[in-house]
Amino acid sequence: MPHNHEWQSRIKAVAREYEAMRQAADRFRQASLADPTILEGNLRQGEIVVASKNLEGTYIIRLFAEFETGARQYWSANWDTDPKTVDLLNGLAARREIPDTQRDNAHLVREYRNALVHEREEKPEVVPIAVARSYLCHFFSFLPPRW
Amino acid sequence: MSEQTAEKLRYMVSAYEPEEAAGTLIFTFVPKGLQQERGVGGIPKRVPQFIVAVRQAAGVLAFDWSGTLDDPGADREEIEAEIAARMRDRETWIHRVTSLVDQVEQWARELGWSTRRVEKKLEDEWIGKHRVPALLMQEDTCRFLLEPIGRSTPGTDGVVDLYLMPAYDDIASLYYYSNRWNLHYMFPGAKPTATVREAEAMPLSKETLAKVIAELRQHAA
Repeated sequence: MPHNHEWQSRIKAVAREYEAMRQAADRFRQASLADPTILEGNLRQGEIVVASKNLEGTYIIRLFAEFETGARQYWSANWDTDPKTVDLLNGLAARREIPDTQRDNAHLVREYRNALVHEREEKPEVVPIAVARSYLCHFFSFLPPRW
Repeated sequence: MSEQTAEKLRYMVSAYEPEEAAGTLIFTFVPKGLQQERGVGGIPKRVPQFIVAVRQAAGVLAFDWSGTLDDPGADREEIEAEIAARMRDRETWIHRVTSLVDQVEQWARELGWSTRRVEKKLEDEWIGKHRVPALLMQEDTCRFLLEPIGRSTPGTDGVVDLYLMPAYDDIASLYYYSNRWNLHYMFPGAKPTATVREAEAMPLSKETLAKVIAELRQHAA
């Protein structure tokens, strides 16, 4: 039977994985500047810079995907509909009496994730991954322990 | 057989515990380096898989090879020896972390905190997928989670984190070394250290646990 903490733990694990890759990318970037011969294949220094720059955004997308999968699993176990993500968050907030602050914070992460995926011209507020993890875990904590 | 010597083994190994057969572990051994072999007409050969179900009863391992399609032949003894080593490490880790949760739960109750256990699923390259307990604690409005992270990290034989809930903010980490659990603080802005042993640490006890939580509450107030 799925339980709340399993999903929160998965969200946390993605954030920790980002920390691991952040350190690895930074080390690799520095090392390749000092010794470009460590770059294998056709890899270029500039590509490492771009990958490093986009790393946090990539993990924000994964973080939100983990959150959304868990939220949809709970929703599907209780209601026979397939709402859009914005409605999923609002629907859960209404049904689980999630405070407005937690609901709005989850939407901040969703909007930032959307901007990263769809490259919108209108840039929403940047949400650092540690903050995103905190917001999404907090929202998730209002779901029942098991379903 | 140790993990270091196992790296020299000729097999890729996976292990899992099926939901429907709790207590039984299924190990799959796949020989390394055979994927590139091709048979007549360049068709890749099927890679053999040696599958064995293992059950432990009264300290004795029972190996069931009835599920394998391929016969490991003379390697069977080597495979069983490796499984035995992994099962010992698995048992040690699960017992170590379960005992920790038992102990912390007792301290928490003595301190007047409410507690609830939750299950944590872990994946480990050496001992396979397994389940261990995690412990939710609450003192007034402050909630914490003691969550096992992993069996092995350089210099330690176990890592368990302490989080402030519900946001999963890091509070402290527990590392097992010197035959005991050691509590390491992770204060925001603290200077990173080369190894976990260099960070501020103290042996885990009811008093040190209470001290961490008290300082956290003071900081949050």
